[in-house]
Amino acid sequence: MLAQAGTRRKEGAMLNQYQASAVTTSRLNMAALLRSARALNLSASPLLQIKRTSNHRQTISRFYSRAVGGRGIGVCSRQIISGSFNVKSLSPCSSAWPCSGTRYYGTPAEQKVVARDEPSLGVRNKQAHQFDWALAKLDSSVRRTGRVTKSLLQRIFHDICRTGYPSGNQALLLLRSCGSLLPELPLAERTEFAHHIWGKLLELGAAYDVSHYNALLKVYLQNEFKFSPTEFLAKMEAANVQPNRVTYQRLIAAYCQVGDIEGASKVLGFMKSKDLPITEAVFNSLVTGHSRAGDMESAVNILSVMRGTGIDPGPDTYLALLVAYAEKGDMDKIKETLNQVENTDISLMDRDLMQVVFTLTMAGHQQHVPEVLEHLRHDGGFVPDAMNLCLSLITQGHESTAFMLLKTFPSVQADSQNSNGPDVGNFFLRHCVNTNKSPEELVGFCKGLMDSNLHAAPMQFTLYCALEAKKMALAIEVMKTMKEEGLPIRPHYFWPLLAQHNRDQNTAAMGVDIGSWPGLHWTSTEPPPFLKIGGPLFSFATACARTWRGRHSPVPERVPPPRLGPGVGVQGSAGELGLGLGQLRRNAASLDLWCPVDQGELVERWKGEGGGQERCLWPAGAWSPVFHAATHSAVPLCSPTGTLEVLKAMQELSTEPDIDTYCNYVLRTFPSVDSARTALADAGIAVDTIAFVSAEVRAEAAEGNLARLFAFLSSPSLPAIDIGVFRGSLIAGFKRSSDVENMVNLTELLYKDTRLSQTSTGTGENMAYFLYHLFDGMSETEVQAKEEVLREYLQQLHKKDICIPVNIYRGIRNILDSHHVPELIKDVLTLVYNKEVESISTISSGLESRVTLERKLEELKAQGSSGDSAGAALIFKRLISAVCAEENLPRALELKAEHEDKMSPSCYALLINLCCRHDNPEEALNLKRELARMDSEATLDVNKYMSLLRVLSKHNRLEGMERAGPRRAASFVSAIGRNRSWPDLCLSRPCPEAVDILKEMKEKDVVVKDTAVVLLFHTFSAVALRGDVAALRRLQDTTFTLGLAKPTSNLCSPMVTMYLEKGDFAGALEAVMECETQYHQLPRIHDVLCGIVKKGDTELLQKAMDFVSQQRGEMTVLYDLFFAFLQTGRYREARKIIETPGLRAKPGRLQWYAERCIGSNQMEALETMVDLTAKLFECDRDEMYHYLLRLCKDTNDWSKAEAVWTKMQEENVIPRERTLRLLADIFKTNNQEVPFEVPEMWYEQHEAKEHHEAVNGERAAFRASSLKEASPSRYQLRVMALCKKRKVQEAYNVLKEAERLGMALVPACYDALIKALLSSGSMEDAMAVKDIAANHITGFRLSDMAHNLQIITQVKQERPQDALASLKTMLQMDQVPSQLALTRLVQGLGSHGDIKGIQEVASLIKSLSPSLNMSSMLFVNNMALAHIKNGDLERALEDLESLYTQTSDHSQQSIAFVFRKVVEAHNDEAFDKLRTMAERLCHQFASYRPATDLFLQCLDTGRVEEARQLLQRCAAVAEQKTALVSYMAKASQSPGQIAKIKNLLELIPDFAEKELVYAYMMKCHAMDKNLEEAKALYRRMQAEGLQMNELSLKRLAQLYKKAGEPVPFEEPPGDFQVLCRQTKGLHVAKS
Amino acid sequence: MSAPGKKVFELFVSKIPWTLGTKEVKEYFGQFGHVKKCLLPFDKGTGFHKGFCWIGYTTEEGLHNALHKDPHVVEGTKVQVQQNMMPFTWRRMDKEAEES
Repeated sequence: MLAQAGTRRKEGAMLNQYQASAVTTSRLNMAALLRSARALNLSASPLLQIKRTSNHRQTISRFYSRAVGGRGIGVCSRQIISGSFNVKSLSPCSSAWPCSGTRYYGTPAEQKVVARDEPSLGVRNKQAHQFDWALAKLDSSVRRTGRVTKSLLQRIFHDICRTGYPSGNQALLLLRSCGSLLPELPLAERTEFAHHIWGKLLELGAAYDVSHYNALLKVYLQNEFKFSPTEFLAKMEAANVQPNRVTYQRLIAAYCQVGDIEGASKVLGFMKSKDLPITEAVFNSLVTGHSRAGDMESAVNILSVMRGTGIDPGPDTYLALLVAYAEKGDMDKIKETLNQVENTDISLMDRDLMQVVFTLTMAGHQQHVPEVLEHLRHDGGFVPDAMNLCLSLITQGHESTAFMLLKTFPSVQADSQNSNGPDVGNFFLRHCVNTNKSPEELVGFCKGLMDSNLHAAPMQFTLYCALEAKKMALAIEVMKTMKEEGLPIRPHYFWPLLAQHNRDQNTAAMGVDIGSWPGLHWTSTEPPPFLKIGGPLFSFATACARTWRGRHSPVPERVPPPRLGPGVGVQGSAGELGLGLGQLRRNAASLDLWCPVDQGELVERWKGEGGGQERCLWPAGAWSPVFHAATHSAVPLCSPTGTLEVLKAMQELSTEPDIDTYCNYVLRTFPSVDSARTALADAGIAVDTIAFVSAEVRAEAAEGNLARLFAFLSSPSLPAIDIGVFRGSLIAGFKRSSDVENMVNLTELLYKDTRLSQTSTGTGENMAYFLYHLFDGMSETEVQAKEEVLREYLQQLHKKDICIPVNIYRGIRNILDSHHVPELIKDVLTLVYNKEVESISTISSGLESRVTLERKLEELKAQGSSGDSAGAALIFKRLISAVCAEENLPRALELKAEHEDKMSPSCYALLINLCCRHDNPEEALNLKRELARMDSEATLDVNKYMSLLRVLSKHNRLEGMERAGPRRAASFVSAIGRNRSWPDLCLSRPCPEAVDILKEMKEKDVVVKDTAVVLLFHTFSAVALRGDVAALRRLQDTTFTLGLAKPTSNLCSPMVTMYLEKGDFAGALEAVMECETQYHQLPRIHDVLCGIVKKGDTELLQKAMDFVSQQRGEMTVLYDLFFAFLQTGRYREARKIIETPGLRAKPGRLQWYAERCIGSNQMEALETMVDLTAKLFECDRDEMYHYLLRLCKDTNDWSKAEAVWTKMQEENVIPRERTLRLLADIFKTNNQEVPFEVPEMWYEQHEAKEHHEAVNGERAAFRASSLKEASPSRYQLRVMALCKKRKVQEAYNVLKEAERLGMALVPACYDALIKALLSSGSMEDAMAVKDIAANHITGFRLSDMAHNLQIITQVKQERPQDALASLKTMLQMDQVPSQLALTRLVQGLGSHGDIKGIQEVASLIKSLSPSLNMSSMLFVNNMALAHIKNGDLERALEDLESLYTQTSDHSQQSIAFVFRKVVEAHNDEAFDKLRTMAERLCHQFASYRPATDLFLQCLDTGRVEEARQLLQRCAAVAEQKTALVSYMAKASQSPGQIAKIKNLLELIPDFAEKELVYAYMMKCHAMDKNLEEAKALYRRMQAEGLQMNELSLKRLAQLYKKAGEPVPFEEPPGDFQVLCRQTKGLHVAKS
Repeated sequence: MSAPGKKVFELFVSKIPWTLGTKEVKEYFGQFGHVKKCLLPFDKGTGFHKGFCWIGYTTEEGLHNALHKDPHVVEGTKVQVQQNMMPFTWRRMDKEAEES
């Protein structure tokens, strides 16, 4: 229980109990105590093995003086003190501590020294994903099976190592899994693995917090690992990690595990002094402690002590007691205790009893096991738990006891119809195989399983496991037994055995059997060092890696690799090395292996170590023999004896190898087919079998050795072999060979030799199919490459009178066609018997073009709208819709009265809806009836029906039959008139009109979905609120029976709500029951049950339970009750419910309640739920705690959150990253220190750090403590991160700091900073950084991007000459300037009047210009401006004029830029002259572009008058529609431009079609977010009878929505982009 | 177009126990019609097959006969049989294994 009140209370009681120890230890620091102990330097005798002289009873009496009765306080305290300083008990247990202990516990400073580079964003991200994946994987494994397989754990460990930078959470996950979750591993191996993980992750930079130490402690406890608690604490202290309650609890458990009550007492006293609550777990440990110390009496006494302190002994307490008896083999006491438990309200789970079984067995009291097994209940988690027990027992060498347990497993009865035979015990057999149990024993188990009908085929399964584990001897023995039993032994049973002898083709090719190389039996879980080497031997290294991978890291055999001494190295140059490494890396990646070394680094090291000499990169001695073997591969390391042995075994078992056996597994272990034949014959294996001969044929064929093959096949001694056996290989051989002669010979042989055609089809067809397959089996390039050979081949075939059927020809033709070698087709055609000419019907395309169709459509539309009445009706409809939008009901009705003839169904619909909104059912019904009269088929949309329904229900248009009589009669008439039967249309029914609406909806197939359902619910609720049961029932029933809406729990709930509101729980229950019977829904059952529980009406509760149980099953009832009890605070009852045997976690239901608690801030209920579900089968604990933390977050209660975290450690729960983040968040918002490493994005982390440092000042960032971590990579990361965050100055400061420390960073880092500085305009700083970089990196140069930015910055700083110089540098370095940089440069030069500069740039980039796509006008315009700047106006005008007079096409030549600059410079003289020039060009040379540019420039700068005058002088400007439209289009792209378009429109009203102009105007309004204008525009268009396009309508609709106003028209569907494209397409089609 | 003039009627069989080899599978499915192809891919690295195979009948009838029988229990194990939905697998698979 986390409820602090509870613990406090208990604690209070405890206080009294431990007064004595409190006195002495309250001011003592535990670690200080430990230190003093160590200072005495008496560490020789291991703590946990000391011979104790004190009397246990005395010890216990010290502690429980009051409960047990005994000594006075004073005495006790003295004893405690002496106990505390009992040097023996405190001496560090050096022998028990792992020998390299110091390696595992780094101090914080050490922890932060990261040997490797900082992670990149990608790595961190990937890791986060990976963690989730790994956690999910492990978690599901644990939840499903209660264990983790070693290989899974190792894989995750490798993955984490490979990615590097393990998070604290990953470390926790891995550590936690090294205990009892690995039943398949011996205890010592588990701890060893845990230590390995601990050390390795520390090396990789994992930060350990208290949760890690606690997890390690738990692993120690679970693995019964003997260690020194004092030293453990010392290590924690050294690492500056504060122990917490859980740490102390586990240390107590550790002492107790070895029966050291004194040690436990001391920790206990210390906990007391720290005011830490003493929980049940501590007492449970003490039970064990006393019993292990041989004092059962004290152990039993603990229970009463517990009660005395206000803690009831729980299941775990009794378990501890049972285990204690089991260790003694005291069966009577066990039974007695079990009976005792039965009389309490505690229930022991099967898992607990299994613990007892395990202990009995381990203590050598197996004979009692059956008796305990009888007590098993076989509930929910029985099977996984029992499996784990079996596995543990097998691991510990007690497989016969395990088998006893296995036989109690429930046998799934085989249903011959539907499922496979029973297969209980697979796990058992597999583990027995893996742990090398004897064949005899295994066969015995198999027989036992078969006899007890648990497994249908245990032998086969055992064989499978043996084969999988490559245990040949066992496999052969099992097969022998199988043969005796009459079971078939098939050739492929031997393949796995054979496969290991030719695992990798690369190695086979080299003649090296890597698998047999002793060095490959890696002892550690690390990948082999091969992966750390490069060089030309990558394939070899990869092969090694694959072998290693395939073995999932083999059993440690600790075979040291033989040393041949140095001198044998890898041959190759650095270049080759790089190449090899790249390939190796790829190969390694495909194998999912770790390949850590970066190529550059490797080459560096290569140079460094060997100075260019041929040298191995890794310590040569260890692995050189392998390189040697690989480079001198002539001598195979292993002869194919393994293969021969398997073949002999096959012979012994009279299983004849088939062709596949030989081909795929035997032949390839021999250098040649011949050598295989010889070796086999020598070994006494028959080689003249059809299988072997066929294999030979296949092998020869595949080799492409066609001459030999032909000789072989044509030999008369050849037995009959079907082509099918070697067709594939023959095709492969044909593909490799260009020996046309033998190709033809072989084909002819196929055509004629009946021995090669064993199937029903004839030889001819066989050959034809072969030909087809030959072409089919070749790729396009292959056919093309071999075209000549094939042609020759086909012609030769023809000469030999070989024919193929026409259908085969067709197939080949199609292939050749698709391979684009039609030339070969005629050669194939010559082979066809009957030369049919195939006519290929060319299908003439009868489709009209899309464009034509669209045009027709447009025309039709135009004709339609010109018709008077139709157009008017349309406008009327729009009017109505507008009025409705204004919510003006009276006006709408007026309009309706005026224009009855124009009323369309849609108008009615609008009006009906309006009436409903205005709460006017009378009018709504009137309109509805009129509509029905007008068009009986007219249908409203679902929302309008819903509003109608609601308004009718609301206005009680239910009983008003008399009033509604005449109208109802009319409705009758119309119904009958429509020939519809309304059978249950009768009077004096509630809700008639509403019901009619529902029926009409059904008739007209109106679908009620989504929001409409919500509306329906509100309608029902409103009726319920009035308490009108009959009406509600009628409405619900009608809705559901008609099938308008599905009877959901929500829709059914109003009825229940009605009773609940009245406090009538019996009524509510009745209503729920009715819903369940009718609609299978249990609406608000939780609230009903809560009400009943609160009221204490047991009879009613029973009724409810019976009902739900009957309807929904027991599980539902249990959860319902559980939640009801939780909700009403009856936690004791809730606990009983949730402890029901066999109950499983229902995540959905738990979530439902948790969300409810979070939503209504019920901490206590939620906390209790989390607490009570701790042992619930398959319960996701992290999820549960996450709920709790969410509520903590909502209530901002950090101390509660901290308690939750401790609780999670106690329960050994690994938080997911999101949980940790949430937790950290709570701490942070309350300004608390976060006691663990927060899994955050690196980016934010660094930002936060930087922020913090910025506060403390620049230098403070690198205080002494952090100096150690100041590696270049850290600085790099900081700089990069800050650059990205645009905190340029800070980044610069960091770099300066790095510089001060003399650190060189990577070029990319300098470059990033330079770019960032340039972007922010800090030219000087950027150059300073450049200099710094140049100091460190010889040949450092700016990147393209940095150069471009430099040019831009220089231009901005009015230093165009410098910018030009930069450009030159760039070009010298073969860098390509950006368009923007060039533009800015030329403009800069222009504005400085630097004509020469512009010319220089023009010539410089002349060679580049096609690729740069620079506009020629850039130079022309800026030259002109330069001239103007220099006062040479004439020259400028001359140049510009000549441009327009000398070339013909001016449409693309815009001098608007010149105009703009002149206007901006207020150079009136130049402007006038330019204007004159433009006018002259217009009049004399018909060059309108300058005048148009000028006109638009005037418009753009607001000189409307000048524009007008210009237009008067140059009327032709008005004709430049393209330019004008593009001006409008451009203007509409930015906000605030509407005035310009309006001006343009005013000056030239018809420069474009109205629709187009309006469309752009609408775009402008949308840009300006001006709804009013947009509305006006819309009205204007309507008034002008113009159709607004969909895109504009969409824009308008968006404006309405943004303004929160309803859209008065149907919003066009689809998104903007689609509409834009459509609109564009339309324009294109039009023009 | 996989074969000229002749359509292949294919089954995809999965959950095949490891004890069955190509021969056994082919024999079993031969009872429904003439089996033209039987591709049971083996992993040459491990020596075990992958648990699924393709069966090609020469006639549609064979395919239908096989599809109509349910369940298919071979040597005490139920295998899953369905029509092959991946018509291009033939070309991609190792050609060698199919011929038998």
